[in-house]
Amino acid sequence: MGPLVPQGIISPEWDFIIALVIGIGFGFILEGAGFSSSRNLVGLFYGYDFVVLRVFFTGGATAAAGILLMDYFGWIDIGQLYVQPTYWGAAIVGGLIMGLGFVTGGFCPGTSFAAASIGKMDALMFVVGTFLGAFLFGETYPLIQNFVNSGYEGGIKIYDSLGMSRGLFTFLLILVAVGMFYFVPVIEKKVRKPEY
Amino acid sequence: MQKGTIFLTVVALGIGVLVWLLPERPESNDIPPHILLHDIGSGTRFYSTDQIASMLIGRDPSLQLIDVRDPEAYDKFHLPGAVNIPLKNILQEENIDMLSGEEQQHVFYSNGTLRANQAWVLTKRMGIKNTFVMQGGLNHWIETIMNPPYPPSSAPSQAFDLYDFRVAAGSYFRGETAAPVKKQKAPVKVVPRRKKKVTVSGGC
Amino acid sequence: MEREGVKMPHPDPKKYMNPYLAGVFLGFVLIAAFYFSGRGPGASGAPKRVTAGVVAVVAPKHADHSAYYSKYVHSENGPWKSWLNFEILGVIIGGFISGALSGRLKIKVEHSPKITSRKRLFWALTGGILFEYGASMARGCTSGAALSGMAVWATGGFVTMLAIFGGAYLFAYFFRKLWI
Repeated sequence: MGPLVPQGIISPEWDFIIALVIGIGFGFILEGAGFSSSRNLVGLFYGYDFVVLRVFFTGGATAAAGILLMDYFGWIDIGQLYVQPTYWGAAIVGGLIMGLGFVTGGFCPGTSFAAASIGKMDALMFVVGTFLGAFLFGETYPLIQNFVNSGYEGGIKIYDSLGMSRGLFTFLLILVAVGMFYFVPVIEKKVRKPEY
Repeated sequence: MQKGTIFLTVVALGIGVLVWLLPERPESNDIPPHILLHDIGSGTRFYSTDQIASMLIGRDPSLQLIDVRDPEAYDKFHLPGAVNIPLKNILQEENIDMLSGEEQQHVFYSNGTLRANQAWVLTKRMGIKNTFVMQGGLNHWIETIMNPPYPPSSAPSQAFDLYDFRVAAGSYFRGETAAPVKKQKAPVKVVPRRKKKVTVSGGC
Repeated sequence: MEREGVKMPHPDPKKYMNPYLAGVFLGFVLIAAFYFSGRGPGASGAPKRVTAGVVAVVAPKHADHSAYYSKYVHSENGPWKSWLNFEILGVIIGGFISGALSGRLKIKVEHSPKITSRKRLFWALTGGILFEYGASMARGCTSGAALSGMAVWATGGFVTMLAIFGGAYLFAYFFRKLWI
C-alpha cells in the first residue's frame, strides 16, 4: 500500500536514492522529448511547435488516471500524497512572473537543468539565474511576506473547487487533452518553425 | 485520418470513461493510527523550555507559541508572543487555518503538559504537521527559567553553563514585564537548537 | 519499476522521442514518485534550498533571522540533504545519458540568428531570475506545481499552470524578436 516511504514501508534513507532514480527518469524524458532546446519549448507561445503541450498533458493525464486506478485497487492512499497548498494571490502573480521568465529565458527550471547537462550554455545561464532569483526572493521576502501568504486555502482539490467528482474531472482532463492534440496541428501547419 | 491515431484516441477516451465510472474510495487525510503511535512514542514533538527561551531571546521568526489555557489564565500571565487558543476552540476554522500554515512551528503549552498534548494529538489527527509541545509546560518554565535550581558542586560544567543561561534568560523575561533587574554577568548563551521536524516538503 | 529507463534508439541525432510516448513515460515517472515517496518531482525547490544553504554558510545570523531561509536551514535534514536536490542531480544525470545516447552532447549557445549569443545569455539569466522568483512565490514551477499538481488534482497546481502559460502568451509578443 503506497506511498511507501511516508507509510514507513520503506525506510526514509531510501528516499534519497529513490529521488535520484526518479530524477534520472525525469531528466531522460525531458531531454529525449526535446525539452533541452529552448527553441522547442517557446514554440508553444509562438505557435510553431506544441511538443510541450503534448508531453505535458499526456504526462499529467496519465499520472492522474494511473493514480486513480491505483487507488481503486488499493495500492496507493491518495490522502497520504503531498498536495501543494493553494495560495490564490501568490499562485496567480507568481505564475505570471514565471510566464515572463519563460518567454525571456526560454526554459523552466527543470528543463534548464536537463539542457545544461548536454552542454547548452544558455541553459547554464538560466540555472545561474535561478540561484540569483532564489536569493532575491529570500532578501525581499519580508516585503512581500503578507501577500505571499494571503489567500491560503490549504491542499484543496480542483474537482472540489469546481464541484464535480474526481473521476468526472479526470475524464474531462483527458477529453480536453485529446481535443487539443487534434487541434494544435492545425496551428502548427500555419506557422513556420524557425530553423537555427 | 490514420488508423493509429484513431486507436490511440479510443484508448485514451476509454481509460477516461473507466476512471470516471470507478467507484471512489473515501479520501482520508487522517494520520494512520500506527504512525500516530510512532510519533507519540518518538518524543520529537517536544521543545524543551531552554530551547523555547533561546528562540524567544533570539526572536526566531519561525516560532509561534500557542497558549491553550483559558483566556483568564492567559490574561494573567503568558509567554511573550504567545497567542491564546483555548483547547475547546481549537477546531474552529480560523484556528485550524492558522495552525496549518507551513511558515511557522506552532508550539503548544499549558500549565502542565496534559492540555498541550491533547491539542497536539487533535492537530495530528487533522493532518496538521508543524505542531509541537513545550515540555513540562508553564510549571516547568517557572522551575527552569524563572527559578533555576543551582547545580550541585559535583555537576559537570555543562550544568553550570545551562544554569548561567537560565539565570540570564530569566532576567531577560522578567525585564520584559518589570523594570530591568541589575545587569547579569553571564551573557545569554544560545543553546544550539535541536533539528526539528519542520515540514517543507513539496513545492518545486 | 523504472520503465522510463527504456532506451530509445536514436539513429538520427535530430530525432526526438514521440511526444505522446514521452508523455506516457513522464506519467509513469510521476506515478512512481508518488507511489514511492508520496510526492511529485519538482525543480525550483533545489536552487531554493541550495541558496538557503549557501546563505547559512556565508551569513549564518542573517539566515537564522530570516523567516524564509530559516525554514529551509532548520528543516529536518537541513537544506542540503533534500529530496529535491537529489532529484535534480538525477535530472542532470538523466539528461546527460539521453543526450549521449542520441548524440546531442555539444557545448553551444543556442540562439536565433537574429540575436547575438551575448544577448541570448543575458535574457536566459534574466529569465532564470524571474522564473525562480515566481516559483518561490507560487511554491512551485512547471514541474513541482503544474505537473505534479495536475497528477493529484491540486487546485493551486492548475491555477499556477494557467497563470504560467497565460503569462507567457501575454508577454510572448513583446519578446518575439528573441525567438522568431
